Amino acid sequence: MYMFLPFLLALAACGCVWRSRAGLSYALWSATTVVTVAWFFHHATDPLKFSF
Amino acid sequence: MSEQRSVGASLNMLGLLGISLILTVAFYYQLALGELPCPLCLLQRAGFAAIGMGFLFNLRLGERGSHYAMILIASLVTGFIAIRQVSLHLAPGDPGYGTMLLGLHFYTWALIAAIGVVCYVALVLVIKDVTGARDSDTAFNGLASNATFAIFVLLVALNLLSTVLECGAGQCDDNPVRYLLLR
Repeated sequence: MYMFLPFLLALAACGCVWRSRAGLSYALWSATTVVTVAWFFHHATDPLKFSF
Repeated sequence: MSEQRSVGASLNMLGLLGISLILTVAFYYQLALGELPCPLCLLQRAGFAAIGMGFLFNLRLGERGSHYAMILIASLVTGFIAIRQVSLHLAPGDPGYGTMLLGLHFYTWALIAAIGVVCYVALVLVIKDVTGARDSDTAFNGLASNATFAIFVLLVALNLLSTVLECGAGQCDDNPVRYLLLR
């Protein structure tokens, strides 16, 4: 599990924006978001004792 | 550039500067006070980077509704992660994680900021409608735009570097106290 991966993908997306590669930028933004959500579910393991 | 076009560009630049300010404050506390970010803290920073990219897309690739949608999606992700961390420390007597800024912990500020971004996007869309500004297909490449872009990229790069130093190639400790690669 690479904790730095979301930042690496975000930096790569910024590089693509600089070179005006819109499609690749969008793909890398999507990957950043998906990895962030995936890492969140990996870390959110403690049960929360709330009742609604 | 027409005045109508520059309204959208200026508001998106302001949004990107706001996100950069959030990342700068978090980084200042990390460097000046030696507070290492926990995994959920890092993911909230990644969420803010994703929000910033939405503003950046509007600025450099032309304004589009889908770019605003990206900002909103990333805000939801960031807010949800922050809610999770707020919930972890919500119980009475829990001291919370890390120091506080103006009486609130950083994850609480992250939640407020994520909600604030959603409100800001709503405001931007209303202002664009009121002023009659149209979406632009062209990039905004002025000196201010380049400087804003550079600041944001620098902050993302610094977060990448510090996360590599803190966590190496694995996952971070839940309560990190030292940089893994600087031991």
